[in-house]
Amino acid sequence: MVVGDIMDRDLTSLAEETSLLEAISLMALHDTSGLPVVNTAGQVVGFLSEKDILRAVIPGYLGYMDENFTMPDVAKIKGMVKRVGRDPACDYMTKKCIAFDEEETISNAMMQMFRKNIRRAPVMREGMLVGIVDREEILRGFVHDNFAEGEVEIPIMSAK
Amino acid sequence: MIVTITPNPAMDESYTTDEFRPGRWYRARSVVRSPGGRGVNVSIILKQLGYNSVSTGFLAGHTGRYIRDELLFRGITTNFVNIKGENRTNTFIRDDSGGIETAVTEEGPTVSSDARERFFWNLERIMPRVAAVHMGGALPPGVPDTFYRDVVDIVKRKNVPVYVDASGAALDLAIEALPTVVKIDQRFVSSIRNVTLSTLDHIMEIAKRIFDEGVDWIIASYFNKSNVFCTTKGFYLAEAKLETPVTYRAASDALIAGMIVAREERMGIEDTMRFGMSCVIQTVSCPQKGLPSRAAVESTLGDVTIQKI
Repeated sequence: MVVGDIMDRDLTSLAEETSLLEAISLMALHDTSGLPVVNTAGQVVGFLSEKDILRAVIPGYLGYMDENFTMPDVAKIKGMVKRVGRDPACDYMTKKCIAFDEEETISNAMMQMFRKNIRRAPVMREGMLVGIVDREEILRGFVHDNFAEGEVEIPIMSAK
Repeated sequence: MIVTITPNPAMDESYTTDEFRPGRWYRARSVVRSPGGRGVNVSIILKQLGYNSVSTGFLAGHTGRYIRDELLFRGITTNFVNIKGENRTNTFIRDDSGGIETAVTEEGPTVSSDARERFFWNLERIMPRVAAVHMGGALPPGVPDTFYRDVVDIVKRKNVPVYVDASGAALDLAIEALPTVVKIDQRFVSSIRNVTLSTLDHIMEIAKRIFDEGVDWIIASYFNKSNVFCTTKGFYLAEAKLETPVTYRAASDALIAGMIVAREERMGIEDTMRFGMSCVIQTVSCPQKGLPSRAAVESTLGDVTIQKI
């Protein structure tokens, strides 16, 4: 089984010039934690995740968040949201994002996603966005591939 | 890629009862749920015929999630714009004793101007990769009657064939932009440009007028079993032999899906009509959404009679 067999065949994406506020709104409406950023030709040029947005809004705080004594300055965060909200997604997206070819094996994709600690990744065919895959689908595909039929019941969401 | 546009998708709920009369309570003998709406149906049937498509439009709420998940399960690519509210549920009740079907449909969620803008942005972005575009069905609140015309304009600029299956003012306006194929479903269109579609002569009169304006194919349903085709080679009346029809709900969508496949495979005019009509035969006889397989469609090609009129 390859990534193309289990991916979510959804093409929802952001333009390079989409504002951070619009990106937040789209992520909420589409119930997702990150979206690919594509250029006018439909090629993937980056990925904007919740973490990228947090990094844009609270750049200095993110590193301290694990510390118990960190007290977020809410007024300052609100000000930052207003300040960066109109900025384009391409200013904050991860440019060298992990992306898979649809023929990539599930085990390779799984290794890369866990090693780089990423939850979602775009799937491409000749550089063009054809879908998206997340850890949950990867895990399902991996179990489906490695357990005998009947041993465990794993519904696969999409088929080629 | 083939793109289908469903501005107002739905969850189709089909109940079968032994009998059905208004004002009484019934327990359904069976319930079949499926994602619906013109473009969604075309995407499903295209997949059953072995063709991938991108299903687009506006999705909202739990019903929207159901529609997307079902398309995902069927391996169909999606590029919907998610909006607030709830997609509609279309309820169909089939009365087995009388063999008749009753339908109740909803209006659908309101589409904002931002969502419409996003839809057009999505469409422009995928257009360089598109081989054909199909759009159809009722428009939800917030979507103006000019919607289909605007889409036809965008698609025609890229020299891509575009199929329209709509009704009312939205259809009239779309025709102005000269789509490649126009489907007129008599169940929903009683008149067009002030010509009542009551007789074969009237259908041919209006089809000829639209053809002269520059539309390549005009197809009008004619009773349940037949379609009138107006083509570059003249008028044809195609009739399907229907033995045990279950539902006519997706018949129009099956015809269009068949025609899209025929065009992709460069079939001639008569073969295109025959293939499309055979898709209708299989779809109206299938209790599930769409048709059983391409092989089934090919097995009933001989059950279509075509005559030049």
